[in-house]
Amino acid sequence: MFYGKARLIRQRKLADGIFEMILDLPEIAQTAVPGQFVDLYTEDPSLLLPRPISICDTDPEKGTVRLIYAVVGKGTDHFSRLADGSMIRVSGPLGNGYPLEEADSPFVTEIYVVGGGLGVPPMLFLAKELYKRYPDKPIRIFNGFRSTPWIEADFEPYGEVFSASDDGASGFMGNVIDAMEYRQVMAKDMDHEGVLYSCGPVPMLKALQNWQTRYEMHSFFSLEARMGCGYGACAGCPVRLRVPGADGDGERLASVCKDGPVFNGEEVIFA
Amino acid sequence: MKPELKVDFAGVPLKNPLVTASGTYNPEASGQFYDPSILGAVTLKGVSAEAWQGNPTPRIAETYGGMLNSVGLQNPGAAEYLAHEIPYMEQFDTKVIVNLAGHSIEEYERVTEMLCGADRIDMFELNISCPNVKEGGMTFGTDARMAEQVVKAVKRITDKPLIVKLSPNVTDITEIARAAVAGGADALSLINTLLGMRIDIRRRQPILARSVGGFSGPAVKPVAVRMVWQVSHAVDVPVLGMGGVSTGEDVVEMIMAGATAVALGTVCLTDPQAPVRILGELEETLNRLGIRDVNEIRGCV
Ligand SMILES: Cc1cc2nc3c(=O)[nH]c(=O)nc-3n(C[C@H](O)[C@H](O)[C@H](O)COP(=O)(O)OP(=O)(O)OC[C@H]3O[C@@H](n4cnc5c(N)ncnc54)[C@H](O)[C@@H]3O)c2cc1C
Ligand SMILES: Cc1cc2nc3c(=O)[nH]c(=O)nc-3n(C[C@H](O)[C@H](O)[C@H](O)COP(=O)(O)O)c2cc1C
Ligand code: FES
Repeated sequence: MFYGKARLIRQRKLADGIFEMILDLPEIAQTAVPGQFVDLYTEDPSLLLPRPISICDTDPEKGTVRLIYAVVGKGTDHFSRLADGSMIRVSGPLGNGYPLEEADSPFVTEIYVVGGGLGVPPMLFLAKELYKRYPDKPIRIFNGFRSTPWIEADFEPYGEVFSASDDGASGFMGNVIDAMEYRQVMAKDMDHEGVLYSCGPVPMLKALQNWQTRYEMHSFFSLEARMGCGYGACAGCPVRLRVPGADGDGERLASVCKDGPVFNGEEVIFA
Repeated sequence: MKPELKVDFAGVPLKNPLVTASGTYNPEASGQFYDPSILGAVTLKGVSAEAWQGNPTPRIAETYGGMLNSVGLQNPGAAEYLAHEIPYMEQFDTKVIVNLAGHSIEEYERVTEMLCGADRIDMFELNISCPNVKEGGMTFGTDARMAEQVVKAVKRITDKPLIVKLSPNVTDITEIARAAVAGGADALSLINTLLGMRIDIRRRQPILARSVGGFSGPAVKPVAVRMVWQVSHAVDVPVLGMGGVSTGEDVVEMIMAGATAVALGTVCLTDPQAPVRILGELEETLNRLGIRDVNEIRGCV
């Protein structure tokens, strides 16, 4: 686990309110797995809690970590104003990450990578690692945006990329579920198993949870939660999980920051 | 020269006065950032006889100089502690305090019965001050007669030293402190969180799902110092001081106010290696002030 100050090598604006940071973080670049996140801290006494941001990509050789985030409040606004060369307090890599090995089975012949909004960036690191591990399995990448995509070409080396946008500014007009349905209809190749990895807004994950039950598909969702510590000490970030039982389903609590943020999609109980 | 940091806390020798505050330390999670063996003691999260689910989310809100939480004592229950958390502490050379939660005297008795046989537990801390549970919790901590009763009941069950954790949400904290000592408390800890609230002005709704929550962090320190000072002058048992402590100087301030040991809470969430930093700062501060032994300054104000 790394905890300390890291140098902001470069920050740039990708779109209105969307920023990309490259941080000098060799310890994290060399150990992180897709789906993990970092916590960024400010030194401002009104912003004492860390802000969780998913790892979008790493370069283990250069020792850098790439983050993409949206300005939604005071903390992210503060980060967006940091100049190149600034030092930021960071901890990570945090959380469990996606179980890549779920795609090992020879019956798994397709891998789905589905991101929505600010859930798209972490899917890049995931798609890259999946491609490294399973160069022969088709990876189908569905990215949903509100409007014009601010990250797209990066995905192309790793699979077949389908973009959807609410306003049709680019790619398929509609949400990612529509795009997936469309693609299924076109392909009619649903009689084998698939694994689906996803990160995005709750309505999207809920729809995916519905969608997957119609297909032979294991899913893994990365969740968000309001956090205190970000590392498992405060019980601030619970998620309810379904525990199948002989006499009906039970429930258990897990922490999004430490047991997650990635959970088995079938088990997640959305509030 | 290294200043002397050893203290005796209600008969339990601590290698230094630093302790983690309940609810801000988890053995496995915190162990990713520092070795708890550097501390005098750690306090485990409040535990009840049966598992508690805690409150709905959001449970955390941020505020200037601190935070609000409404975790509501979510915990896996005493049996789970006996199977995992407590044995896990065997590998560390630090004292273990277990924070006890209940809704009624019977529930406090039951959790004490379940845990009192565990040798790895050095002390109990009776939480009668949680603002985040509906019944029990703070109702015991704001009524002197009930406080005395529950402390008596738990003392009948266990020989382990009993710390009673006090709520700051009272008019006169010394009244509750005296009642807890009359009931048999071996030590007192304070302060638990202050009842607070924050509102999302765009949604015109409280930020916390439960509307109100416990306020902690550096902003509460002056309230905590005042109460530690009042209580340590009002009773003869040792005090575990906490509330907003974030630096080595804050620790010295708490000890001067009368605390024997000092707990670190919110700072462990906002700076995961805080215990390591604060221990270093404490030594440095004592040296700078020419204090050779922390015991010299206790209650000097
Ligand atoms: C595991 C995880 C990964 C994330 N990855 C990304 C990412 O890659 N890119 C990105 O843009 N955003 C990501 N988010 C969301 C991001 O953490 C929030 O947008 C950010 O914390 C907002 O901070 P703020 O100070 O600007 O907002 P404010 O609303 O001022 O923050 C107030 C408090 O609420 C918390 N908060 C506010 N919104 C969220 C939210 N959506 N999720 C969790 N906490 C929130 C803040 O951390 C802070 O404690 C992620 C969240 C989680 C839990
Ligand atoms: C997230 C969180 C959880 C807490 N849980 C407990 C608990 O289980 N039992 C308890 O007695 N106090 C609990 N507390 C109170 C702290 O132990 C401490 O008394 C208080 O936060 C003041 O200290 P601080 O300002 O250093 O945090 C909790 C505090 C926080 C922030
Ligand atoms: S944020 Fe503290 S336990 Fe998850």
